[in-house]
Amino acid sequence: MIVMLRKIAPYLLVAPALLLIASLVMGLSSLLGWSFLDGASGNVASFAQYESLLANGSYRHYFSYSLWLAVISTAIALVLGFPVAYYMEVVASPKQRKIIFASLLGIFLSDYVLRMFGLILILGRSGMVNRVAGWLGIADGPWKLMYNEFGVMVGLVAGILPFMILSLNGVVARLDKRLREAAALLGSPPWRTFVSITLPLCIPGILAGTMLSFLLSLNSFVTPMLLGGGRVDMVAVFIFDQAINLANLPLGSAAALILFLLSAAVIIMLNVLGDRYLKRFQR
Amino acid sequence: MIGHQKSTALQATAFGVLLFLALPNLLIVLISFNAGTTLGFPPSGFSFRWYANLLNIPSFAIGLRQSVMLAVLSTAISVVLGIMVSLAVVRFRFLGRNIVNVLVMAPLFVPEVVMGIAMLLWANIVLAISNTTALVVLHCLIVLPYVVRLIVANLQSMDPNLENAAMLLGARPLQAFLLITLPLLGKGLLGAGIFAIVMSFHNFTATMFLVGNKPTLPVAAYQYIRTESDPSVCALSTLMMLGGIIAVYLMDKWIGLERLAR
Repeated sequence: MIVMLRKIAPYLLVAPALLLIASLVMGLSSLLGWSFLDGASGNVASFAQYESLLANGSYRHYFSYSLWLAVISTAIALVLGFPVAYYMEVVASPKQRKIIFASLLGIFLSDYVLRMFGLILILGRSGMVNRVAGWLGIADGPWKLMYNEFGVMVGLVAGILPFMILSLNGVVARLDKRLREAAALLGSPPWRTFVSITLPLCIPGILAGTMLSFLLSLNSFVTPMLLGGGRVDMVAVFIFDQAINLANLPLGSAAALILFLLSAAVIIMLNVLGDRYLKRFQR
Repeated sequence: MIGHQKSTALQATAFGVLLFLALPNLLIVLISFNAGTTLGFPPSGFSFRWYANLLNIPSFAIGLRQSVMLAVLSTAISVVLGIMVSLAVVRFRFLGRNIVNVLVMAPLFVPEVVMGIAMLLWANIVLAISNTTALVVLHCLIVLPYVVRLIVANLQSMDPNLENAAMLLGARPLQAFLLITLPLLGKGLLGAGIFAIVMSFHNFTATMFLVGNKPTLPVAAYQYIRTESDPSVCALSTLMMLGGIIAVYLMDKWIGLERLAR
């Protein structure tokens, strides 16, 4: 009896959670089903949605442009985030570190919509940057800093930086100071020590941060809506428009599925890279 | 000397980036006390009028009620489900354990837009369901992976011999769980709960697909930002930030900030 119970107990324990997950699986399956519906000719299975996504240049642009924005914003976040992680873990005193860490976490946990709203206050027509530039007399008229690519880029970078920094500081903290000292003693200039010692040791954190940041940027919805004014073509905006505003669920579903596959491809690719890196070091 | 300069440059860059991250929030707080009626910089004068004005915006009241309800319900449900899954995964070896691990973490890998539209379609299949019920399910899905991860970490650092000892001394499994495991989990559970509340409260993109005509608080704020331009949203944001600071403090106290990031 007790043995029996021990056998079925774990299944009883996981059943409710799996029931919850089942709703997501059901949702994703019906997403797959809807994407093969032909909107015009009733409920016939067809590739019509995928064909139109591939054939229509402006539809394709949503995908290529989102990928482009995600690549650039991730690269910027990596370059800006690394010094912060390095400063936090290597230079700062424990107390400074704790303060920086808490404020990062505070930013990390503050509402995304409201952070983008804060950027509007900075970048808008009568925002801080334009007013300060006006006082200093360096701008003729107000600069156009949002409702365009620039504004969206600033928003994306601000959105992903906390994730990037928090992914990096784990690996930076584990760096062994003696390796750098040894390199310096052997006559390596600082830049070379950085490129051939510090950077390679940080690769796992860089990959983790890159993956998170890239996916967040690629799937971003709030930023193109608020800082792009809906005028910057990102996939998430397209999907929302199709599914909710235009009630074209088949096309929205097909686009969502492609976005899902793109995201999955990025996850798999970066994981493979990470595994390769680990294997090289274990040898 | 050169080393000193280098670390100054590093420090300047680091603080520049941190300032860039903090500036939007600081500006929101500053402008929330504006006496004037615009969002422009700098604010003119000091007043609490926009805080008082929050009471005149009905969508914020609806949003607050909806968000609190969603956060409380989805947190309660996912913490209970999370404890059960974590117990199964940590204390038992069973066929399909790895699959369960993967499935429970699966929502993390689904982009929010995709999750939103998928759950919209799911709600269409389950005909009798209201938007609010669908939202509760959605939020449970979003929060569950984090809750399970935090509880598993807590359970793993706990000595299973304490439960075994209780059962050897005659306690039934349920008794051992209620009297030994649960109290020992205590703070970890509170931390996971707070984290779940924050995640649910701030969820926007996936929620947007299911809100219908009853906005959550972030959705109400978003709609207000798109149509109006007065500092009311700044006042709202400042209050929400205050809530966020309390959440960070509580999480630091109960689970430690370091543990959350790793």
